[in-house]
Amino acid sequence: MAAINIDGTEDTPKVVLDKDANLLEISGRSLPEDAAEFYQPVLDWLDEYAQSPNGETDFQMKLEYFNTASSKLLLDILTKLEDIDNAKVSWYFNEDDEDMEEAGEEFEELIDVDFELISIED
Amino acid sequence: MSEEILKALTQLFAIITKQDEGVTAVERSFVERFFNSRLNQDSVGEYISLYEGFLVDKKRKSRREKEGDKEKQKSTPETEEKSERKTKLTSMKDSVRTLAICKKINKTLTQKQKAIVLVELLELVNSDKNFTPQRKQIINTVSTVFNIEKDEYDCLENFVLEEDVSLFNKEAFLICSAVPVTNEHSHYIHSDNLDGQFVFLKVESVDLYFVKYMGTDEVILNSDILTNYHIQLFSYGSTLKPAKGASIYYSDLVSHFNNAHTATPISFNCKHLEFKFPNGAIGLRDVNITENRGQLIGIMGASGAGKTTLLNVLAGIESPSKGEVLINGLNIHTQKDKVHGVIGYIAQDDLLMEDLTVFENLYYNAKLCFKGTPEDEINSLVQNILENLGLDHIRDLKVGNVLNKKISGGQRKRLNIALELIREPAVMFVDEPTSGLSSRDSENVIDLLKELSLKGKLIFVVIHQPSSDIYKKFDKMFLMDTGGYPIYYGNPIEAVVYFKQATLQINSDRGQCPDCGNVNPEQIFDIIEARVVNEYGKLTSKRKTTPTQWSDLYNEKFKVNFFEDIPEAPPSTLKIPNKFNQWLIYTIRDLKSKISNKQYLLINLLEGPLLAALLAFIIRYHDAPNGDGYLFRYNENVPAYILISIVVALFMGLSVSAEEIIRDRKIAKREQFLNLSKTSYLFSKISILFMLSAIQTISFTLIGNSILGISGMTTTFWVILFSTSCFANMLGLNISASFNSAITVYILIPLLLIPQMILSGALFNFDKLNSLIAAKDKTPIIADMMASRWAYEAITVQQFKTNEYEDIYFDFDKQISQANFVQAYIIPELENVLNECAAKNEDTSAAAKAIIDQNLVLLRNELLKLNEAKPEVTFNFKASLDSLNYTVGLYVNSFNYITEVAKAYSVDYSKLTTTKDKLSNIRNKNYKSESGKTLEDIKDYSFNESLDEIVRNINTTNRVEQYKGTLVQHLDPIYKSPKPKHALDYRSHLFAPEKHFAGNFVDTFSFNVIVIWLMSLILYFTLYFEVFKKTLNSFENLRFKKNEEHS
Repeated sequence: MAAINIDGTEDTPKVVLDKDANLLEISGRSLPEDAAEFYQPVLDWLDEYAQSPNGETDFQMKLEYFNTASSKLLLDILTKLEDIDNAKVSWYFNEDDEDMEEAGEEFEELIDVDFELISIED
Repeated sequence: MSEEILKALTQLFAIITKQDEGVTAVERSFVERFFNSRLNQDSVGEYISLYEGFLVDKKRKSRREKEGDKEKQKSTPETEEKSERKTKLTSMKDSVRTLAICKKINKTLTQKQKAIVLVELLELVNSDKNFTPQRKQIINTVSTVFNIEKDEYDCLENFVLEEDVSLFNKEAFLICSAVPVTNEHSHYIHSDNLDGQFVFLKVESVDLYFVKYMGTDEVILNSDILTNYHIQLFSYGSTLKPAKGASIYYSDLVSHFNNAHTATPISFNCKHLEFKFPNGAIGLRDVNITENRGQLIGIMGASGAGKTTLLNVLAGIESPSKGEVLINGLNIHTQKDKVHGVIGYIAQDDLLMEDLTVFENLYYNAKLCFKGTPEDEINSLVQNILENLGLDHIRDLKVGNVLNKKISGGQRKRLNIALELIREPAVMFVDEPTSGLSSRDSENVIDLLKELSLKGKLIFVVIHQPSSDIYKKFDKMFLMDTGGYPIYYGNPIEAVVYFKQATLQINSDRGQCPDCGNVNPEQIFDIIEARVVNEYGKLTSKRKTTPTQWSDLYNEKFKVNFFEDIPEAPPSTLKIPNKFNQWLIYTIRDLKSKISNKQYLLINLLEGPLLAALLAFIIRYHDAPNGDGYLFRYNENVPAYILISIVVALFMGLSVSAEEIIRDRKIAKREQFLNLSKTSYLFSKISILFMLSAIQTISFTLIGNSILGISGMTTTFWVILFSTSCFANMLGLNISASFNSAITVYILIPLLLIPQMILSGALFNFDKLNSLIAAKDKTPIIADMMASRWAYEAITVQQFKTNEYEDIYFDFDKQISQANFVQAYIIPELENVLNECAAKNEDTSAAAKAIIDQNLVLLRNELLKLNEAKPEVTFNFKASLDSLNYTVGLYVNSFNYITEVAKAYSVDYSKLTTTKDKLSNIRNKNYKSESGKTLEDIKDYSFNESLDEIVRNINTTNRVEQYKGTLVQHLDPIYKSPKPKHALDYRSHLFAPEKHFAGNFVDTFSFNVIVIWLMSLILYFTLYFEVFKKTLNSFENLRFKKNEEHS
C-alpha cells in the first residue's frame, strides 16, 4: 500500500506512514485549521493498514504541541490501533515538558494499547 | 444527575473557564448558579471548592508553562508575536482530559441530556461573551465526542451567541413576535402585543426544544420567570406566558414545527353527543369535541363517568342516541364504509396469540392489514415497531398467556398496542394503555403515542391516574364527571388552574409546582369530588359541587368552536387482502401457533393411534371353533368396535374444536372491527380442524383395523370416521362460539355425546324404544338427527355388503332372503289371519267385528304387496278386498292366491340356492388355483359372524310383527329395501341396504356419508349466523325480564 508522507509546517505536523519501512510517525506541532480534514487521510490509511498489518506496529508520537481539536483526532487514531495485533504507541516528550507527559498519561488511560512514554533530552 | 457526572461537568466547566485569561467573575457566578439550581445548599459549597480545585490545578500548570516558554525563548529565538500566541494555547493535558470526561459522559447520559449539557457549556461561555477560539474549540470538540451533528451544533452555537433574529434563518428555528420576521427558512408564529421575540430551536435528532426570549417584559415559563437572553429547555407540556400576548403551549409549537411534513389533514367533530344505555340510563350528555390532526387528547374522569363509553362512541363501536361524530365530514356511524380503516381502536383486552412469538403476533397482524405489501417490507415494518417499542430483544420469545408468563406485563401491553400502531391509523382511540404498567413502561407507552401524534395522528386516550410527566404530554384534556357530564375541555395544566380558581383556592394561578414543574392531576379530582364535612368534622357522602353544577359551569365557560369539516377523504391505512388470502393467513397463523404448542400437538396426534391400539388390543378376542389362531370371522366384538370407533371420532372431534373460538373471541372482535372476513376466519378454523381430524382418524383406522384383522375396509372406516369427526368439529365450533367459558363447553361435551351413543342404533334396538318416539318399521326421527346413527349404519352395512366373501353373494342372498321370508313368515301369518277371520265370523260381538276389520286391512295391504312383488301370479279379487267385507269367497280366493304365491317363491328359492351353490363351487376352485385357499379361508378373514347376526337380526323373537295394518319384517333388515311413501321419503329401517330419496335408490354408504356432511353444512350456517348464541341470549333476556317483573 502507498505510503503517506506529509511535510510538517508551523501549524501542521509531519506525518510518515510507510508500511514497507514499518514506520508510523507523527511529529511536530498540530494546530490545523480543520483537524478532521487534516487527519482523515491518516485514519483512512490506518483502516487499510489494519486489514493486513505488519507483525509489529509501533506508532511513534513525537509531537511538540497539539490543540484540543487535534486531540480528538489523535484519540481516534490511537483507538484504531486497538484493533491491530501487536500494536504499541511510543509517546515521546521532552523531559521538561510536563504537559506533554501528562497528556500521554491521559491517553494511556483512555485507550487499550501498549503505551510507552519515552522521555527525550534536549 | 449522578455525582459522577456532576463532577465530570464541574471539571469541564473548569477546563473551559480557565482558558485564556482564566475565569471571570460572571463565569464564576454562572457556575455557582448552575450548582444552585441542581444541588442543595450544603453540596453547592462542596462543588464550588471542587471547581476551584480544578482551576488551581490549571494555574499551577500555566505558571509552569510560562516558565517553559521563557526557557524556549532562550534556546530558540522567536518573535514576540509567536510567544504571545503560545501562552494562550490550551494545555494538551486539558485537551486529553476533556476527551476523557466526554467519553465518561457518553457512557451514562442519553443524547438528549448531552444536548442539554452542551447548551449549558455554551451558556457558560456566553455569560460574559468571552467566546475565544480556545473555548470555542473545546466546546466544539465536546460536541464532536458527544456525536452531535455539526449542523445542529452550529445552530445551537448560533442560538446561544447571537441576538439578531435574521441570523436564525434555518428550518430549526421558530420565531414568535408581534412584528413579522422576513426570514426565509425559519418558522413564524404571530403574537399580538408581544414585546420582543421568542426564538425556539428544535434539535431534531434528540427531539428537544429550547427557547430564548429577546425582549424586556416579564415572561413566565412553567410558573418560573424566564431570564431574557437566556436559553431554557422547553420541555414536554411547557407553557410560556408573556406579560402581553397569548400563551404559547408546547403542543402549539410542536405542531407548528411538524406541520410541514404531515400528510392529509383531519377534522374531527363530535357534535351534541348523547348516549343511552339499553336500560335507559344516560351515559353521555351533550359532548362536543373538535380537533384536527396531530393532537394527543386525554380523557379523564371519575370511575363510572363514562370514559370508555365515550371512547366507544367516538370510535364508532357504539352508536349515539343523539348527535353525530364526523371525520372530515363523514359520519362514522352511518357512513362506516367511507371511514373504514381510518380509525384505530386499542381496547384493554389482551389480543395476543399465546403460542406465537412476539414477532409472529405482529407479523400476521400486519399481513392481515396490508394487502400487497412485499414480504421484506412487512418484515421491516414489524422490526421497526418492535425496535421503537423496545421489544426487539424478545422478538423470538413466545408470548405465553397471562398465567404462564413468558414476557412481562408491560411488554404484553406494548405488543397489544403495537398490533394497532403498526397500521398508524389517522385517528386512534386507546383505552387505558397504562393500566397495570410500571411508571416507566407507562411513560414509554405514552411517549410512543405522543410521537405518533407529532407525526400528525389524532389520538384519544382514556387515562387513569397519570403521573405528572404523562399528564403534561397531553395536548388537551377532556374531563368528565359521574353521569356523563363534560366538565373541562382544554389545556391539561390550565385544568388545574381552572378547578382551583373555581373553588377559590390559594395559589390558584399555579398549574404546576414552581420548583420541579410537577403537576398533580389527582388534585383536580380531589377538587371535583370534594365532599361536604358535617358538623362533627366527618366527611359526608354529599359532594360540594355536584356533576350538574360542574357541567353548568362548563357550559358557561367553555364554548366549542367547531373546526370546518375538511372536504378530503380521510386517509385509510388499512388494505385488507381478499377472502382467500385472509383464509390463507389465518390458516398459516393458526397452524404455526398449534405447531409451536408441542403438548397440544403431541396429544392430538397420538390420541388416535393410542386409543386404537388400546381398544383393538383389548377386544382382539378369538374363539375360533376349530383352531387356536385369531380369526376375524369369530370376533364377537366387531360391532362394538365400530360403535366405539365412532364415539372416539366424535370425542376427538369435539374436544379438539370446543375451545377454538372461545380462545380467539377477543381477537375475533378486533378483527371484526377491522372488517376482516368472518368466513375466512371460520374456514381457516375448519380447514385446520378437518386436517387434524383426517390425521387422527386415519391413524386410528389403520392401527385399529390392522390389529383386529379387518381387511379391505380402511377407506370405508376412514371416510365415515373422518366425516363423523368433522361433524363433531362443526358441533364443537358451534358450542365454542355460543358459550362464554371453556369450562362450560367441556361440561357440555357429555350432553352432546351421550345422546349420540344412545341413539346410534348399536346399544338399544330401535324397535324397542319408548313408543312416543319409536316407529316399528323406521328408525326414529330423533335418531336420524344423530350423526352416530348414520355412521354406525354406514360402516356396518358397508362392511357386511362389500366384504370380499359377501360382495358377490349379496344380490343372491337378498333375493333368497325375500323368497324365504314370504314363504316362512308372511304366508303363515296371512293364513293365521284368514283363519282367525273365519273363526270370528260367527261371533257377532263388536270386538270380533273389530278384529275381523283389522285383519282384513292387513290382508288387503299384504296381498297388494305380494301382487306388486309377484305380478305373474293371477290376482283378480282386489275389488272384494277393497270392500273390507269378509265373505267365504274372499277366504277361498285369498287362500288360493297365497298358496300360489308361496309356490312361486318356492321355485325362486330353489333356483337361487342352486345357482349360489354353483357359484360357490366356482369361487372355491378359483381361490384354490390362485392362492391355495378355500372359500372358507376367505370367509374367515373377511366375514364376521357377529355382524351377520346383527344386520340380519337373527336373534329376534318376533321376526314378523303386525303393525298398523301391515306385517313388519324384523328378520334380515339388511336384505330388505325400504318402501318409500312419497318422493321425498328418505326414512328407512336400520341396516337397509339402500336408501331412497327423490325417486332414486342410493347405496346406504354413500347416502349416509352425504347425510353426515349435510349435517355439518347446516352446522356451518348455524355457526356463521350464531344461531345457538342468539337463541341462548334470547333465553337469558327472557329470564331477565321475568326477574324484573317479579322484583
